[in-house]
Amino acid sequence: MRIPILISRAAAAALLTLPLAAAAEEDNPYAPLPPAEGVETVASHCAACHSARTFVHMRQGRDWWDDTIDRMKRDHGMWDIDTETREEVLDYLEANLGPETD
Amino acid sequence: MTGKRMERGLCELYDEDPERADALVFGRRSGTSRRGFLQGAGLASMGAVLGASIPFNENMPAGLIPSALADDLEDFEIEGKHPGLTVLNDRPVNAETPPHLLDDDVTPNDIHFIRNNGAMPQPMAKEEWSLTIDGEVEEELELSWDQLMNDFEHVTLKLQLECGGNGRAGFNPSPSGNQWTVGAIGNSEWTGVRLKDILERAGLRPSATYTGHYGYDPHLSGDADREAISRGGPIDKMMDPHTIVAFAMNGEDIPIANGYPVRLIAPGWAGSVSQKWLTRIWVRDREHDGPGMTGLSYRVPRYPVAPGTEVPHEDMMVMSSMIVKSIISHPEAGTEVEAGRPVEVRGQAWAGDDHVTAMEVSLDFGVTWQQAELSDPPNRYSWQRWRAEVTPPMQGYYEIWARATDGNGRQQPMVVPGWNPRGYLNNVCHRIDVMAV
Ligand code: HEC
Repeated sequence: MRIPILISRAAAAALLTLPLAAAAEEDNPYAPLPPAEGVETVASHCAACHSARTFVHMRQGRDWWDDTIDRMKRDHGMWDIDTETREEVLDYLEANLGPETD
Repeated sequence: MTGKRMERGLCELYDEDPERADALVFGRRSGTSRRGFLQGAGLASMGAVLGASIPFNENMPAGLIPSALADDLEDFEIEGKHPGLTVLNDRPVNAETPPHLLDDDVTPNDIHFIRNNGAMPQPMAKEEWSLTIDGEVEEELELSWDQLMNDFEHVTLKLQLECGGNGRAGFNPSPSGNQWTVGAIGNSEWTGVRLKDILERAGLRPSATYTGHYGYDPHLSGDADREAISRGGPIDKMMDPHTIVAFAMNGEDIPIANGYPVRLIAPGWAGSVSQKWLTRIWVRDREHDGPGMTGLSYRVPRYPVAPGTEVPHEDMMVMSSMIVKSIISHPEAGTEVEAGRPVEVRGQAWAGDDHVTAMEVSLDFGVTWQQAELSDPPNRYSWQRWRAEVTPPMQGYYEIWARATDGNGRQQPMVVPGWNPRGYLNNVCHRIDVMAV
């Protein structure tokens, strides 16, 4: 069995006891983020430090999400993201976690 | 925990597509540009997620045991914690207690809520632990576990500890942060040393006005140069004989999720003042400015604002005492009762730095209220037990509402109180439904 390098030995041992339930969620590997265009980019930037559960309940406009990226950078040391990626993240957040969403 | 068939499933998935399996299991994607970074942070949180379910787990931090590592938080269990707790987030770990589990006068260790800001730390051995007191003091101290045990008087107190955001889920529009309902509150029996005694040993300089607290829990990003949280409080609160450096919870070691081996308890104030995994208290000559003290965190507007208002930073002030509140811990919401027969109703009430002087319940949507029996607190800063009997006159749907009044005559409101940007201090009356048959 090939073990991905980013998994430590102890964690790999633990994987042997994992249930199939996780794999059953195959249709949306990024849950609880809603599956939609850009989800992968959002997951890699916004579900890196914390679970997306930290913010999926929010319903806010683009400006608020834009401020949130600044807040993550200022308060929590989030890395710089280029303009194109930032727009992609904001497009997703606005479309899926916007004030009118649900 | 799981069958063989299932075990194979995930291994196969890891074999086929490790990156995707990783995203499935840990809800994260190792972005190409950030791989190195994620490695550190990812591994830390992975340990927190897997906890003691790991064979040979000595090297892994204690934390969450997933009964199923699915996307559903209901499947998560936290080591040493009651499976009935409601897990709000797994990274960071946040879990609240449903009110019917808060029926004990003294909250058991496995029932007490958890609010983490960073990753669940690997427990630090008592022999390795120390507490630094520095800043505006005559003599800097570095106290060992033994000194904490032997050099100071110990006190044991029942103390309420409530998350500042308890009740946040009730605000509309929804403020950012954990969506706590009513159960981010506990009242355990804590044993420790008065912070006052320690500060007096160090000797406060006249310039000492505030404290800044530090713990050993890692920042969520895994960045060792960042604090997960570092809040503090005014010297007066810290010199209150009920503010203690606690080393035992209900006579036992403090569970890792609640701050092992030593944490601060500054009862009656937002829980974040009561630093978990405490290692340092920096005495300051001004309001502390660590992470969690600045921005909108733990701040409320100086004046009432309309829901959804963006409040300028200079109009926000740091929260101090929590406010009057109560819960109904019995019966459990949704219980069926007998029409025409008295039902015992009971719960807990507290009021931050103040205490509760009256408790009332209503069975008719607040039209009439009856006085409940209210016990005195066993010590200051403990919550207080209340009980009452209500009789549903005929069959049907009822709600039990409970309302506490504090020593200054302030009552819990029947509707959600003033909205604020981060959703603090919601002390709306707790209400539960019962069906009389
Ligand atoms: C470098 C780490 C990091 C990254 C990357 C990150 N966050 Fe955060 N975020 C944090 C930390 C730390 C907290 C505070 C957690 C706590 O105290 O419970 C937080 C809290 C939050 C909160 C609640 C508090 C607030 O300030 O509103 C929201 C919403 C949030 N993050 C959204 C996001 C979004 C959206 C992204 C992607 C654009 C993101 N985060 C990326 C570290 C990060």
